[in-house]
Amino acid sequence: MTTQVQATISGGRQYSTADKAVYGTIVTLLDDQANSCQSAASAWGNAQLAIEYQRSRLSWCAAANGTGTLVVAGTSCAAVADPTGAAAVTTTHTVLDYGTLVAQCGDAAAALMAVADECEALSSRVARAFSLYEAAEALSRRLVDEIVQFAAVHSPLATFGVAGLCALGGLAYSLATGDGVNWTHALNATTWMQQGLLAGIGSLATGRSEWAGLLATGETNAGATWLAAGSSRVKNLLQGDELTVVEVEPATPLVGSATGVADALADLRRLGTARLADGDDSGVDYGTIAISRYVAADGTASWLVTIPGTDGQWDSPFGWEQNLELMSDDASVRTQADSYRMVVEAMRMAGIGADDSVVLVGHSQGGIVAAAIASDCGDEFTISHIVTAGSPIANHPVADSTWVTAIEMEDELVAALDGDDNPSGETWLTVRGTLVDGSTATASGAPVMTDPDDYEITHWLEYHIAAYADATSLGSPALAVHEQHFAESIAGDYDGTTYYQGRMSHVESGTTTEEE
Amino acid sequence: MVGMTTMTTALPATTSSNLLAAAPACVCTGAADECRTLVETLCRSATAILDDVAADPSACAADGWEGQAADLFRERIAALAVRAADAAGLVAAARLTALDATTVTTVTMTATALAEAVP
Repeated sequence: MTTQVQATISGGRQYSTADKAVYGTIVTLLDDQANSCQSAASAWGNAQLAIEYQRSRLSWCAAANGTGTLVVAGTSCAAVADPTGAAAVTTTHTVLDYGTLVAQCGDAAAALMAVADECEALSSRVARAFSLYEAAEALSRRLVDEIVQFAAVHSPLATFGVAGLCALGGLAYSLATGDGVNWTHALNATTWMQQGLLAGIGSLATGRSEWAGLLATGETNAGATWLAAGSSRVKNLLQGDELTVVEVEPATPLVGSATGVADALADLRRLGTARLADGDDSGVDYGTIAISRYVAADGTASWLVTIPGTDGQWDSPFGWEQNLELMSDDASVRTQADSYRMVVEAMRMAGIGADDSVVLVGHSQGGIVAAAIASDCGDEFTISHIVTAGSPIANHPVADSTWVTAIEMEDELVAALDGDDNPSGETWLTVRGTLVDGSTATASGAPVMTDPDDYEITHWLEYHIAAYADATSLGSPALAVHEQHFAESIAGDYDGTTYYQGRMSHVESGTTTEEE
Repeated sequence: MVGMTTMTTALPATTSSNLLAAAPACVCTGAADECRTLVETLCRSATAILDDVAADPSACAADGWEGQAADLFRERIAALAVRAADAAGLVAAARLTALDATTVTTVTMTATALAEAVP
């Protein structure tokens, strides 16, 4: 399987009506040409069949054999019992090179289809670069979400039954296509209803009516608050609530100088995979984040905080339960999440000043931590920009002064856990990635760096990296503005990276800690 | 056809024209006509479409769009015009083949006439 990711961009810089008209005209023109060429290609393909049919009629021609070649080139004579009584009959034949003609029709069809594909690919690039379908796509997603949410609250059994059937359909597809029992296909089949379902679950958990849910957002965050009230107690009993944060030194540098979002994402992946790899010699274990310092010519410091996602280790602050707390719509619950506390403590240990510009880059839970800090830590830190990959942060009250570049995969589920689409505005831009088959000649996405043999869940960071790479290749002015803001937020020379590891326990360790 | 034999010799030039009679057009002529009409119709339509694609790449120039991706887009638009011209060439080649049908005449004779014509 050759996997590629194709990206669409929503939010960011808003284009003028004149700009949209110009690029909309180009898209319409290219789409029209693509449709015309496709129709023509189809007609030339059909012509091959029609000509073959005419060729088959030649078996009734005395002067031709089955391949359309004359038995005798020129004039032939045949002795026959002529029923008309004429002594001889002349017949005019027409010789056509059917074989060549059929082949040429095929060539013409293929060439027309290639032109159509290129028109379509170019049209798609312009439409995606300038987010021309953003409003329509957002509206249709919102409608589907609200309808599914309404149904989930009104008739939970029936709605979840439909979801189950969709999942079974996905599983059947997996079996039919020789992928075995691959549950990712089942998950993918429910992509269209995931946000609505999760919003419905949030409404059910908090007792909201189906009608209230039609206009409101943030149901899953309210549900997370309700769930976290119980889950955090269980977590504290099992895992403890004492947080220890220590500085650690990797054997080899994992996070280096970043000049753009792509660099930061690559470092994030390197840190995330190194800390989870069995038997690796990086010297970095789970529950580790990185804080890089940049110094401008005037001595001003700025910081890039790299935060991997959930590792699920029994004593890690980045466990599963912490996700619920981070997703809460209550700031007092979010700020008690161990992963949030750990990152904030590490930022204090690193010496980040209140006026220093800070950029947070996080994957999955790391991205939710970034959004929570940008929402709740405005008094202590200046969070200039956050970059999240696969993080459900639509309803986090991120400060207006913070820019958000969010990257999500269409079928990853995790990013849909907020039950809503991300806000769209000048400072909030979302890149949405969709898997496309890269084995076709017309594939126009960015390749995934670790191409899997089987269809797998797209929550892995390499899919977000590919989505961002494709978005970058589009040349979107909106994305360029976000890139520029990212770079300006960590302006200056790279001054090294410090790594911090967090651990949870029942007993205060006496080392540098952040306690409740 | 009873007792038919196929001769590979050419009809002698001395064959008397009063021995010859016209017959209905062979099916191969109708087939060729059908093909020619079909290809000519398709050719006219496809050429018009491809001429549109190839004629005016500047319609898609997107002059206000800057950067590497924009330059690459304009390069691809220019290449698209070339590709459309190439496709038009293939279409024209098919038309030429369809028009390049040749006409031949065959003569079928009774055994008696054949014996007279070929001593």
